[in-house]
This record gives sequence, structure tokens and C-alpha cells, in this order.
Amino acid sequence: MPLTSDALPAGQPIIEIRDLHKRFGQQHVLQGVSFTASQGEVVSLIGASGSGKSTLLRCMNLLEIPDSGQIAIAGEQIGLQHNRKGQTVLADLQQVERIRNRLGMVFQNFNLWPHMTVLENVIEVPIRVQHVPRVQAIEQGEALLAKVGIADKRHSYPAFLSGGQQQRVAIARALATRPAVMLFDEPTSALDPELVTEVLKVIRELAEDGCTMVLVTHEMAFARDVSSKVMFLHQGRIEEAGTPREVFVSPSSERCRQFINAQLCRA
Amino acid sequence: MPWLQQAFETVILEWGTPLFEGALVTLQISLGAFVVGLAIGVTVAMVKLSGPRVLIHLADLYTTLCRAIPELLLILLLYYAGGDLINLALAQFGLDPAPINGFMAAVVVLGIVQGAYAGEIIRGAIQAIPPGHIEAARAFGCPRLLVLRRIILPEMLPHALGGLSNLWLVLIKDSALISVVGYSELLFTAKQAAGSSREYLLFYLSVAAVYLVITLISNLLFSRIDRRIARWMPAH
Repeated sequence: MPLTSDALPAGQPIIEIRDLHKRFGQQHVLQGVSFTASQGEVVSLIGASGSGKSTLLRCMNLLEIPDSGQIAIAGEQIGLQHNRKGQTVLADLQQVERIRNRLGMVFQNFNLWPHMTVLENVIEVPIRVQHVPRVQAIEQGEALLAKVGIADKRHSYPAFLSGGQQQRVAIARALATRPAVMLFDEPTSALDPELVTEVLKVIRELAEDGCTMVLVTHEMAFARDVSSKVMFLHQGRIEEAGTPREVFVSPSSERCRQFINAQLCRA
Repeated sequence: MPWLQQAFETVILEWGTPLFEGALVTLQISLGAFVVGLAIGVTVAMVKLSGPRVLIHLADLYTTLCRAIPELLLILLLYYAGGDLINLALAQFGLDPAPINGFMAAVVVLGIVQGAYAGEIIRGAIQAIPPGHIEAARAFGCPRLLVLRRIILPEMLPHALGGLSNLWLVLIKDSALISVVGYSELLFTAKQAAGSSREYLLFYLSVAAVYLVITLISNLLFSRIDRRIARWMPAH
């Protein structure tokens, strides 16, 4: 079973972002960011907290609506328009829902649905939104839970799982929708240190399988090892971008060098 | 004990059927009004949490009015004024005035009062849901109604259950207020029975017992729901 939808040839851009701006009140969080992720790429967004990397990720599936700029997913431009008060709003909610359905999001705080069992969490979107037959959804769901090493807990409720287990379920839930891209928003930041490894292992396996991913992370060593492209954000701008080697070994920006040294020393 | 036998004969044999029917009507009115109240409550809660400003003001006005005016007065107002209004509307279209269906009127009037309270309970309960859970559903492209039905409503239930069960118990007793417009539910039937047999104490105590039994059964049902919720929300 292919993990992600296979409609796009390798190298085809899946996420294309041009000149994105986002303000929260007085704060100018994104100041003209452009970004591309292509089929099969693993792109890591790194930077200090407040640099705008999570906001950038959340703009990709329109959980945040940018003030200006263009976003295209799998070649489809997302319609944005201005309302009477001058705010940017979605032009077509149904288009956005369709596109969101092709992006698998994994959150810092897992955000599993607590009233559903592990398996129910995983099959919810395939059955209710994608109209996959129940038997088939369960079959796929159980295979994914086995892949993230948590098949034995499939009838447990999330409250009875550890953070690491919950995050692995959340990854399976996102994979179950057969997304074109997986979006990870600091997937290990809310975990106890001893639980980080099991989650990173799962993400690493996905990267090795050729799953397209965008990853916001503070795990520098992990970003260096799994990424095909790394972007360093600073004060709402992309300050440095390139292969892990370029960014981690010979960054051209002094700030990027300082940030990486500080982070790697800490770890 | 001859007095006990006499009491049994008067309450059960003579008045058993009407009283049972009255209790059934009380339950039907309460259930109907509860469902209407929940539907209004969910709508009001959603409007207050994420509706356009005009609707929010309207919802505020509704909850304020319905919680400020005594329920008995509201029932009289909505029953008689509502009836006049309907007939006025019918006259506009050249139609004959229609008699008001007492049962429907009771359900609608009590439901409107219930909705005001339920709306506030449900609004608070929805606010207790971690926003990330709703955001996760949106991030997967779930349409709004699906998010409401599959995530918001089941997840707010543990936070709303205490308030809603209170509301239900109050409603069962409030349904007795409907007797002022001459609709024969449990209390109205008991009043008739007491009046015609002159056994006031006997009949009023008997219906008090019936209300008590309904309440006890309700408590049982609510604690079952509570136990079900505890399966996914430990130590709630």
C-alpha cells in the first residue's frame, strides 16, 4: 500500500508559496516568505520560537489565513479574497476543505479525539470524509497502526496512552487519509525526553519510504539526518535555505550559524 | 387495613387509567420539550460562539428574556398571545382561526424556555473542549456540520451532562405548569381526581410519588451515561 497518494510524479512541486505575509495584531510574523516542497522531499523548518515557522506551516493548510501572498497545493491555487473590513478570508471553503483533506497534519499536542478509540480516530476521516468502505478503512487503519507499532492498543482510548503512543496514533491518523504531504508541527516538543525517540523513529521511517513531508522541529540532529532541504527562519523571513549540509556545515548567515551551534551544543 | 384497601381502590381502580395517561402525557411533553430545548440550545450556543454579530445580539436577547420572565407567565404569554398571533396571520390569508393543539403548544412553549438555559450550558461545555481537537478535524478537511456532529457534540457532553440532567429534572416538574392552560397532564388529572373524590391528601401524595419515581429513573439513566463517558474520560 503506498503511504501517500501517488498521483504526482517525483520532483513535481506540491506546495508552492509566494511572498506570504501574516500579521497578528502589531506583530508581523511572516514578512514575505516563499517556499516550495516537491514530491518526495523532506523539508525541515528550523528557527527560534517566534520566528514564524509554525505559522508558515499552518498557512499551508489554511489553519491560518495569510494577509497576502499566494499558496498553491498540487498546482491548485487557493482562492483568497478581502471582506468589507479589509481582512483576508477564504474565497471558497469547499475548495479549502478538499485541499486540507490531501494534507496530513500532525500537531504538537497530538489532538486525538478523546471520545474515540485509537482505531476510531484513524478511520474517522477516511470513512466520513473520503467515503472509504468501513471494512477497507479498518483494514488500512490496522495496517498503519501496526506500522507505527501500536496495533495492540487499537481499542484503547487516547487518555490511557503515553504521549509518545498518542503521537504515533496521530501520525497513523494523518497517514490514513493518504495525504499528498505530511505536515508536522513540532511533533516531539510536548513529549517527555525518553518518548521522543520512538516518535522520531516513525518519522524517519516515513522519510525513508519517500513520503513527502514538511517538518517544524527543534530536533537539529534529526533535521540534519532526514531532511532533503532545510530552511532557517528568522523574524518572519527565510534567512538560510539549502541542503542539510549547506545549512548545518557552511551556512552563509551568521545568525543561522549561531542558532545551529547553540542548538547542537544544547543537545 | 381497610383504609389502605379503600385508598387502593380509589387511586388505582377508579383513577388508575387517567392518572397513568396523565403521567404519560407529562413524560411526552417533557421529552418533546427537552428535544426542542436541546436543538434550540445547540443552535444558540453555536451562534453565540461563532455567529455573525446581529445573530449574537438576538441570541443574547432571547436568553435574557426567557431567563428573566417567570415561566408561568411565559407559558400564558406564549400560549394565548402566540395563539392570537397565529390566528391573526391566518386571518391575513383569509383563513379561519385554528384551534391550538395543546400538546404541541406545551412542547413548543416549554422547549423555548428550556432552550435559553440549555444554550448557556452547552456554550460553556463547548468552550471546555480543547480548541486543538476541533482544529484537528478542520485540518483534515471535515465539513463544519460533521465537526459539530462527530467532535463537538460528543466531546462537550461530559461538561454539559450535569447541567442538562438538572434541566431535565426541573423540566419534568415545570411541565405541570402547562395545566394552567387546561391541558391534562399528571398534576391536572390529580387535581380533577382530588376534586371529584374529595381525597386531596391521597391524590396529591400519590402524584408526588409518581414524580419521585420518574426522577429516580431519570437519575439512573443519567448515571449510565456518566459511566459510559468515564470509559474515555477517566476520573471526570
